[in-house]
Amino acid sequence: MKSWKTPTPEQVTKAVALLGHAEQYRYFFDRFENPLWIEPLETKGFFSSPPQATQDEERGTIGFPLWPESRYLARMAARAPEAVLKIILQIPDTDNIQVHTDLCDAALAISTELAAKWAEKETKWVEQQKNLYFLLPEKLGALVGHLAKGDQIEVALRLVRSLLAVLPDPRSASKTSEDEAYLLPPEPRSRFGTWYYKQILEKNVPDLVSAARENALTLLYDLLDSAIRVSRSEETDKGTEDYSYIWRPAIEDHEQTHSYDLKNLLVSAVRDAAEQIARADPTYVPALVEKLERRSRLVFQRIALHLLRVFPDAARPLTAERLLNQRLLDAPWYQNEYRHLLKNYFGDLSSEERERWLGLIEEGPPTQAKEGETVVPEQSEQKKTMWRRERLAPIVDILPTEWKNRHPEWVEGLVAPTDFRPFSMVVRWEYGDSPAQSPLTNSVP
Amino acid sequence: MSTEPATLPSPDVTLPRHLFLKIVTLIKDHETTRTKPEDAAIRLFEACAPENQQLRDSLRPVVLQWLEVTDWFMRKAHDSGKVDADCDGNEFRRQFELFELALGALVRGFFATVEGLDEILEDANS
Repeated sequence: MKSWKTPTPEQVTKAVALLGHAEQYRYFFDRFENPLWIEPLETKGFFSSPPQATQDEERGTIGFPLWPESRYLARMAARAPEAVLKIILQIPDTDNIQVHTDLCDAALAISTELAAKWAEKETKWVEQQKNLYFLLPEKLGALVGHLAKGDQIEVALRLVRSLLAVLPDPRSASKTSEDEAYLLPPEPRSRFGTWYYKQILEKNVPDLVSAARENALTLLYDLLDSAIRVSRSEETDKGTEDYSYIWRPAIEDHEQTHSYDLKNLLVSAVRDAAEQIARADPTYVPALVEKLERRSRLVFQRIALHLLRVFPDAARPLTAERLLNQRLLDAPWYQNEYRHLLKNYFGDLSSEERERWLGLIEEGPPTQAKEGETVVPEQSEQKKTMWRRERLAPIVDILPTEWKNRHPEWVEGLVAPTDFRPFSMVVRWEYGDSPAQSPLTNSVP
Repeated sequence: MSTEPATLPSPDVTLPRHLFLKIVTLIKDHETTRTKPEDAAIRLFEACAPENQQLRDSLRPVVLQWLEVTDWFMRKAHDSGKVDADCDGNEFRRQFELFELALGALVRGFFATVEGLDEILEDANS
């Protein structure tokens, strides 16, 4: 290991005397590599006055000046972690993102035990910020992973909670008239761009999930819940309804999923975290499913169905229960995940369970005429047939022949689909608005 | 038998009104025209290198060291009851070199002074 020369007071004084120009000051700190100068320079008064962000109200611009002193500290962190930590904990608060980026670099270079002390301070600062710019989100994300791998789980959880916090749409607050409420639905936002948000969820959060397991998952549930709540107006938010079958037609990756939408990113993050935990310990799947189903939003139930499909052997009784659940069988918003599950595991059900399921199909959908609606028997029967065909389609190839012969009108011309998202969406997007163009309606006898 | 007066004299001093107003004006003038040495030094640094304005807080340690040096000479320049022979020659030389270095760095261009910094960097980084 390299040994560094301890500076004499004369050397330090001479160096400081030569820093009268901004260029000299930058030149000196940008090239300095000796960690033993940290303390003497601190005694001289350096490391105590970070430059603040500069705002130009007229031009509407904001600038974040570089601070050569913080860059020097970042370079020295690996060589003198204790000395650097002592200083970075004392640096006064600044709104200069560049300084925070350098300090985060320093925290990444030191042991997690020391880095945790700075992360605690930084978490409080992040909570007060509306926006985080440049590389700071990425660096803080890396710090979350660093802390998690170093067993500083509580600190990492607190940091990621404030880093990935879902904020309300600023347009909601600036609405000036009643009419504006109908222009666009509120859009949840984060403190930084969704590209970085995605990077953190994909690169750093998995380390936290490995270390914190259930606590990390709960945090992701909370974030997703917040994102859904923020995207709904108070008047239309009914608690469980989330319309996820519209903005997230499939829980699995799908080309129609908007990959840079905050809600979608968080759905993927919850799904991936649950899968990660289940892979590490398949016996945990029933508990994961139970926790997901305890959440009120519908999307959590869909993720639970998805999890049962991906880890079939871990919770067979739960799979059978879900397939025989009338509510899941009927409600359109569960159909993508439900039908995937049905297609994969109908064959594994016991003969008694299969009979019960086919019995539910024979009974048909629960009839609930809307207020003021007149039920025309023929139309009602046609709707029931449609309902049955939609639910039978995924397993049409493995249905008992005797049963098919009993109900030819429900299976005739039926082809097992490869896409299980709610059919109406497919019809509208892929075949235009005319029902006549749909392969499904064409096949209705 | 006590010789003390029966009552203590009043601590207040009575001044004629016109004299009081003159003293107030004098103090006000002094306050408004007085410049703190640190402010004056900052103005000097920024006059020599206008770009220093952007780094006023960061360069404060440099300014404070400049003030320490100039204060040292100020103390020698004013009558302290000591004769020149009492002054430590080595300390005088040290302070003068620092003064010269700092002033040189301030008024000469970057490339004229970077050599001194390179020497320090080379020694410290080796």
